[in-house]
Amino acid sequence: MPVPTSALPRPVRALIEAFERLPGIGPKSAARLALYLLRAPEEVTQALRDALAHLHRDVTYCQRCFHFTEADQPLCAICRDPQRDQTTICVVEDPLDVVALERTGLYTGVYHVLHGVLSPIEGVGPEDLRIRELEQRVQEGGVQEVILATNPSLEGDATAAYLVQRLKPLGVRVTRLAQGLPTGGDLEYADQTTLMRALLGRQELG
Amino acid sequence: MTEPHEPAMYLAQLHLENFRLFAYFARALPRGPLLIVGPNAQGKTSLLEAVAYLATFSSFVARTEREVIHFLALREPLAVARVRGACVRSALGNTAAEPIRLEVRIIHQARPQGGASPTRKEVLVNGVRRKLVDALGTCTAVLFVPQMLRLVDGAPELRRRFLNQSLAQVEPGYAAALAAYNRALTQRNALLKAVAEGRARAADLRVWERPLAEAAARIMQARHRALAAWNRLLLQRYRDLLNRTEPLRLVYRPALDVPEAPTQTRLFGGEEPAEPPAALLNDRQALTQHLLDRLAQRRELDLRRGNTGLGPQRDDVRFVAGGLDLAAYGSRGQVRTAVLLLKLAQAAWYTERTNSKPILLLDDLLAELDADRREELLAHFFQAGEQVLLTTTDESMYPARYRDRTEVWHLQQGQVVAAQPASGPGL
Ligand SMILES: [Zn+2]
Repeated sequence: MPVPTSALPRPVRALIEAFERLPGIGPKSAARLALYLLRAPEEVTQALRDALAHLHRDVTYCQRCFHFTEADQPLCAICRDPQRDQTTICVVEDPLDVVALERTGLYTGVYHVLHGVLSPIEGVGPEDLRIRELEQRVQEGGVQEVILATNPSLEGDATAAYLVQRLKPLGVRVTRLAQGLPTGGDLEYADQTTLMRALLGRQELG
Repeated sequence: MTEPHEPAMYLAQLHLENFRLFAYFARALPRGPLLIVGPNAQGKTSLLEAVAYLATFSSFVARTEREVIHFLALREPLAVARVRGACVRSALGNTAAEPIRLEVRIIHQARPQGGASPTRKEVLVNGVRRKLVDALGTCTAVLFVPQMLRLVDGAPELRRRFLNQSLAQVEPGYAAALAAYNRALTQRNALLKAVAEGRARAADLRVWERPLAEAAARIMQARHRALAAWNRLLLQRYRDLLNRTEPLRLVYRPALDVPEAPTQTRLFGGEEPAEPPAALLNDRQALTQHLLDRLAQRRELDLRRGNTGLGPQRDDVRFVAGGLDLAAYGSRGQVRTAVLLLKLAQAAWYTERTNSKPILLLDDLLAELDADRREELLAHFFQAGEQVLLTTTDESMYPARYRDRTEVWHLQQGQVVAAQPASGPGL
């Protein structure tokens, strides 16, 4: 329900509109959040203000895998971890997929975050994703397997098919997560058992 | 007269909110025939359209979904038209199954920044939100509206929409394949544009052609099989209804990009459309491979055209009788009968596929038919379905012999102003 311009003061309306731009937030939840913050104690809004202020200043991309890292660290915690197996790279669409796979506690390799999938409708081509950088990592040597863990959607599958074309000539083993994830579903929402099964049952492509 | 209560689908309750001229409408429906009588523009067709919504979650009649929402509701920032029904699929021996509550919401929402978001739909089964593709098949219905006479000689798009709405109700996976196909097609077409403008490489088209070909093969195979089944039923059950000599045949014209078999020229200048390549259509793997090869071969051509020149979005169907294409050579009466035969075949096919007769929705069926023809066709329709909803402007056209088994509603401006329940035994 749009808020009539006369019903609430301008700053409140501005906050509601800001919330409405967030994914998954409808007009009703936006209004509820804004009114909650208006009535909340100072420390709640202060904490939110600080978190938002630090977000862009203190977070950057890992120079190797493009997952998030803190600004004073060129490599993310996973890439820095000497226990991780650097010969296996798991390719995902976005950082939340890293979080989902880490939750399984099963994967010991490293990641590569594409930051999207191929989608000509949205004007996203191969050069808009971190594909060149992935190719370089493989070319530098030492990589034995690349696991393609893009979502099982039309675009995720097409991106995986594209990556096979690019990576196979480099002589690396390329695998895809096993079927069983709900089609069109996000990795992010898959339960841990399903994700583990998909990881263990991965199949070689190409 | 058939054995009482062969398994059939019926709607026990219909409940409308803000649907067309019905701000509110709620009524129990009879299990047998219902005749809805009234002058034009009183809501007769809209009632049938509403029931059809429960089966296809879309309208055959409306140009845009927005138009099914009551005009007063559309003045609100959030306008919702609701169609609710209690669907029952009766089993053998007259034991009624539990009704399934089905609700379709057509939602139109104004944006706070001005402008409108596109109309969207929600489907609830027993009160729980479901994906449209998962809820299809809960209710099965066959709709006839006079606009469907254009199926024979109108744009191919009409025939494809009819095929899609018909198959989605009973063919598992059809609607999902159609959605996947449309998405892959949009992606390939967007990439064709990007390649033509030098923003992408033609080789990148390949990754979209695999899902495109797989979905296309699934859709085309389903269409081929459905049409073959309808032709079998037309031949077995309804061969005499069209012109007493040759049965109606539906000829599938899949856009497969194969050289056509030469058309047979008949006497009197008629041309019979070539039969589809059945061997290819029956083999899913070969069909997928064929489509993949053709898509790869025609990239240059498609780049110049700016879109994909083969696939189910370019399919067609011809109506043929006595070797003649009815679009060109059919009389008005033949065209009308052909479409009604198509509806009978569709209903018989649903019965085979779902083991229960579908709901029949027949808008203005009785018009333009002589009395004998009316009786003959009605007998077939009452055999093909148990719950049969008919509309007419002229009650006297309804054959007297069916009268006492039929409930009659008189409809005025969206209100039932008089109703007579059936007095005799069911059909
Ligand atoms: Zn990293």
